Amino acid sequence: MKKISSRQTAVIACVLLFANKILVLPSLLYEYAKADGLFVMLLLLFAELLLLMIFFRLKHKFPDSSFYEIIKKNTGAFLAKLIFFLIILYLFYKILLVYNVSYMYFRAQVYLDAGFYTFVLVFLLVCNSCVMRGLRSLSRCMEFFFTFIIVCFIFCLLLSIANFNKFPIFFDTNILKFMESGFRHIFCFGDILLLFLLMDKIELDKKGEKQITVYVLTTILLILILYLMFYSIFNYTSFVHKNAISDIITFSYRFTDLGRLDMVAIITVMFLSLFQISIALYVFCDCFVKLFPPLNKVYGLVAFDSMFLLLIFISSIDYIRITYFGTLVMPYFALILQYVLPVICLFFTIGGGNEKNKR
Amino acid sequence: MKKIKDSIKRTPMLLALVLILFCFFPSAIITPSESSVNAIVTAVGLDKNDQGYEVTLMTFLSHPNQSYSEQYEVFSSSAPSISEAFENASLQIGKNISLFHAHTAIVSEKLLEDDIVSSLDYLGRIASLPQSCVLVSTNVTSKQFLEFIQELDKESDINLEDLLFYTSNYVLWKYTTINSFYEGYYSPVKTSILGHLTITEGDINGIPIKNVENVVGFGEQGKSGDKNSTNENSSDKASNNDTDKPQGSTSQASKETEQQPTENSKQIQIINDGSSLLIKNGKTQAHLSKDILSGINWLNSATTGELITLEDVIDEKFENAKLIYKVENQQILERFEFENGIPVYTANLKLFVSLLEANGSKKDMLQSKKTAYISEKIRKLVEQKVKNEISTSIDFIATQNCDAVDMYEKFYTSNREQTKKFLQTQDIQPDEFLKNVVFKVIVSLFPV
Amino acid sequence: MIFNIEKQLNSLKKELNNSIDVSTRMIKTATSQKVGLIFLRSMIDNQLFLEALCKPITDSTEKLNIDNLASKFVKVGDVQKIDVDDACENVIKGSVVIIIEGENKMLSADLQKFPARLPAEPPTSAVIQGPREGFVEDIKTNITLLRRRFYTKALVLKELKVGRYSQTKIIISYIKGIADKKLVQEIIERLKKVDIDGIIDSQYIMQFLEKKPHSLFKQVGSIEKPDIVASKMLEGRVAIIVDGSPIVLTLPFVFLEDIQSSDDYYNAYIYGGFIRIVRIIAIIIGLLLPATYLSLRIFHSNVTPIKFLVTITNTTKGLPFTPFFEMIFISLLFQILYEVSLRLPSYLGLATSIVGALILGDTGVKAGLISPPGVIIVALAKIALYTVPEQAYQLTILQYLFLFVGGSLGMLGIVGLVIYLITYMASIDSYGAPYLAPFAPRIEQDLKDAVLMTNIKGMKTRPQSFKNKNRTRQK
Repeated sequence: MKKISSRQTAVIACVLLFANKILVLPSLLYEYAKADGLFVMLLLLFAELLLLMIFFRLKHKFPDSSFYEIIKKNTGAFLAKLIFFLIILYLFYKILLVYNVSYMYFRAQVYLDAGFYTFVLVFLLVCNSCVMRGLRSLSRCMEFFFTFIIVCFIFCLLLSIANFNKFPIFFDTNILKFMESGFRHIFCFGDILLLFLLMDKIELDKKGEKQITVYVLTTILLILILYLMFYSIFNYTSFVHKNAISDIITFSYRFTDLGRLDMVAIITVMFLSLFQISIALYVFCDCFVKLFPPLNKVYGLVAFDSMFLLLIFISSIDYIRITYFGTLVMPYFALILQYVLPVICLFFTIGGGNEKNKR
Repeated sequence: MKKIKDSIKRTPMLLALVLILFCFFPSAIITPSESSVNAIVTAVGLDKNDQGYEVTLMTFLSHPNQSYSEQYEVFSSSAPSISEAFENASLQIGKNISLFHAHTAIVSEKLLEDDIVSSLDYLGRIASLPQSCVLVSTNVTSKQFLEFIQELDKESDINLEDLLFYTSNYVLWKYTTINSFYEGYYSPVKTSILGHLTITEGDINGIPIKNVENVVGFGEQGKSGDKNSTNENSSDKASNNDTDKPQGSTSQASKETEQQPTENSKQIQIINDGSSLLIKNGKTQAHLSKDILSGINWLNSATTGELITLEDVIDEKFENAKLIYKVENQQILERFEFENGIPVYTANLKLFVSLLEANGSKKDMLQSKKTAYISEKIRKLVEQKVKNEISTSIDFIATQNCDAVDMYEKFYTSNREQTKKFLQTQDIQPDEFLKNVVFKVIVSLFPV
Repeated sequence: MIFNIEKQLNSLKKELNNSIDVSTRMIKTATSQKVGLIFLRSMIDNQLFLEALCKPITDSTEKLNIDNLASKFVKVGDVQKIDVDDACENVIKGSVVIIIEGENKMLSADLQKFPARLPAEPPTSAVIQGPREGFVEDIKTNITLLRRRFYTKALVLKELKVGRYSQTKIIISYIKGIADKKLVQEIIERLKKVDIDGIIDSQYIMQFLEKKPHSLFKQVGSIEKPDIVASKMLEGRVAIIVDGSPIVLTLPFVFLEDIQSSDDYYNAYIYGGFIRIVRIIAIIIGLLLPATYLSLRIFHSNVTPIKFLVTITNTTKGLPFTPFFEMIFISLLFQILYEVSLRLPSYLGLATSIVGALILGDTGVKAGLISPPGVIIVALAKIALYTVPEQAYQLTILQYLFLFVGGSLGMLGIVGLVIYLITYMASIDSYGAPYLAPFAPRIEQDLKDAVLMTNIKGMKTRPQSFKNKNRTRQK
């Protein structure tokens, strides 16, 4: 099997880390935790880092096994199938959330009159084709644009410095609000779980682990800077601004003559959201194939597209309902899959040596 | 059929792409340019009238030519709510209203008599209006104001954007945007500052506007800004003034810009004296003159270029002289402490000044030419003047219960528990905090 | 079998279908010994034929046999004994086949000569500094041009013949000890499998070598200059020279190769890096500018700076076409003019340019049919693509595709298509070399000669994006 390199893995991890965090989340966190949303973010990103460490340990212990095989071996086929079924639902919802957040964002910023079909078709076509080309092509594509994305992101942060207002008041919420804020939006985190699901397709060595860690830490730093800038610029009005990465730039009065410089942010978000959905869709199809062995990923895609279109068109699922559902039911679901499952997997690594060495 | 099947198998995604393009192709061919179906609005004005609200839009309308000249027209529309007024305006122009390029929102003083937040709600809610849009108030109706601005734009190189930019950058030292207004509104002290432009008649030095006969109702009803302009009546008046004008409450500039101004028109001027409005809970609390603003700005490290005027200076070099110093740079070191439970604000203000102008008898011409000249006497005078200005300004805003200098927030950030305790013991609200602060300002001068 | 000359000549002539350029001659030596000659008049060097072949034979006083004729009398370079079965093939290739009375073998003397042009600078690979010679249609000349650059026995030239009728000579050239053996073998295997009636040009072969033959993207390098081929071979690539074509193919091929130019290495390396960035920007402009302009006009006027929007709106007001139609119209107009100026004789081509630029462009704008921004944008985009002439045709197709997507779906469509194409390109594998190397996957070592290049001294290793032996170039 053609595996992806550690740099490509690092790029995937970084792109996934940006998912759902740079648009609406800062303002959602502010509603509960005020400016301490920054620390909620810090805490949950730290949890992502811990997940990454668990991933390294698991990969070290089972270098060539898939996540499904590991679970199956340790818990039995039935439980493994059940977990993967839940993961499929989880991924489906995650894609739906990323899609809806991006959709709302683009509608508000650049597509005032564009039809609903435009978005659905573009997203489905691009993401389906990426999945069809395979993980290696997709990860190479992400690697190709990664520098561009990061440069654009940093550019946005640099532009936002011009709008810096004042440092927000930190530590002004009680611990309950703080925890509630994190818990309600926990679904926007835990993206490292996708690396677990791709573990048999990743080539990793010690140097690679270091590389991934450095990339992830840099991304975490960038996200935290974005949150700091966001709360510093908007302070009490943070809850109004639902498009963080764009709003920190458009707020500037100074750049009016240059037009909307947030176009940089818009293009960055376009790339990020298409990549995030593509990679999540790939994992969805991969899990689908593992759950229903005789079927290939084309069936997975067909299943996803049908469910997606059905929900979008018939039920007219929108962002509000998605996020409401996300904050109401999904936290428990996400908590188990994102954090409890990897921690359980950590126990599988205890005892015995490297599985490859044993062979 | 086999060929088709083979090609589908070989390049399924390419075919999907072609299919989608094929589906969208017809609509792409017939879709007109967005700018031809949207009215590009650069400034929005809000007024209250009998019908409810009047929305005035300064709109860019294209004229088929190969130039880059911008030609704006002012449209207005009334309705019980702002969104309906926008809808009416849209109907009137026959285009969708695009607020993405709006850089200014104007509200009349009358509107500010009540809580403006309910009026601004629509503007704050719609994503198409940039939150960086400058919010400014005026003494006349915003419709009249925009019509004056339209005339001004045609007559000279001065435009509203430049005026506001200058005021924000060199007078207020902060941007008074919709967002900054809301930020103040949602803060614990509920205070914001709003830029203010006055349109008046008389001999005051301002920017004169010549073709005021195009401005509906000005002069007839004075500068009070209480003219109730509706679709119908403004339309009538508009057509009375200019027969070439389109129907609806559109005011279009006269093409005969070279015509002699009338006696009345000579007196109309826009006054940008740097004054602003102090807004509390979304309502006008007080007018802030430029002097009061200067006093506040001494505590703002972003301020530079302020002028300090000293009258009748007598020292070893000057006798009864008028000296004007310019602050080249200003540094401020602040401390927020509680002494015996009382909040004490200590500021060490370092002013780097240069002598800009000296009028009066000079004992030593050569010495007095130096820009870095400052004597002990002058130092004391400047210190006293700055302290007085700060004291006057702070007293003024404190009596209004408007903490425009964010004193509460600064104390809260540095001494959270003590600030809370102080509010509890005094049984006061955060907006009353400023009244209770003891100011200790040390001014140090450094000639440059 | 003992030959009867006349009978044999007639039989061979018949076998060659009595074509009008088949000549047979019977000459006699001084001792009246008969010698038969058969050849194609159109394929041989007549002067050499008379002086180096006919004259020594007619003057000979010895009794001729096949051995002394070959060693002593026929004074041409390549002489070999052949069987009667190979006679026709040799004649076709431009050899004179000599038949001696009483012998059972024939003699073939290579006197091949046909009109060929001299090596000149190719129009699409002009350089300011550096070698100016280019490949020609004659394979021998091309081999000479290549040999001149490698005075080493390590240069290997292997011959293959492809084409049932054309029997085109194909030379596979590589440097032993640098090129990967498996790569060479794979190329030979692929070429051997080619079963086609004729190979007219190397572009025919190119399509058989591509792993994704239906792809829009070029997957085999095509080079017109020997210095570039030599440098590619030093990197471990294999060159394929096709008889009758001035274009030499190289494998493996990565997309970046066409962005590089030989000029980059002959000038200051900093300038080389700068000009590569310019080329990349030109490609981006060429591909995306018309599409972006169109999407801004149709979908995203809100993000356009107001001053720019004012200019566009003023200048496009009153046009009879929708933005999409206008752009397609201008693009097609340019394309037609390009095709016309390419095909017409140069004196007419100039006139076409004037018609295009002045009459169609300027008058079109004045007549209010097309807008000045549209003309500027299309012209800029079209010209920009020719900074990379090797990819201009492929990029032109993509330009139209982007134009369609930009006009139909806006910026999101453009970004989607970019991702679609890059994912596709990332999936192409050219004989072990990832198509987007060294960017995706990132190969640090090869980045030294990617965009911002280092100097020759700094390029210590060969490219690592594909397999090659002996990685060290210099110590």
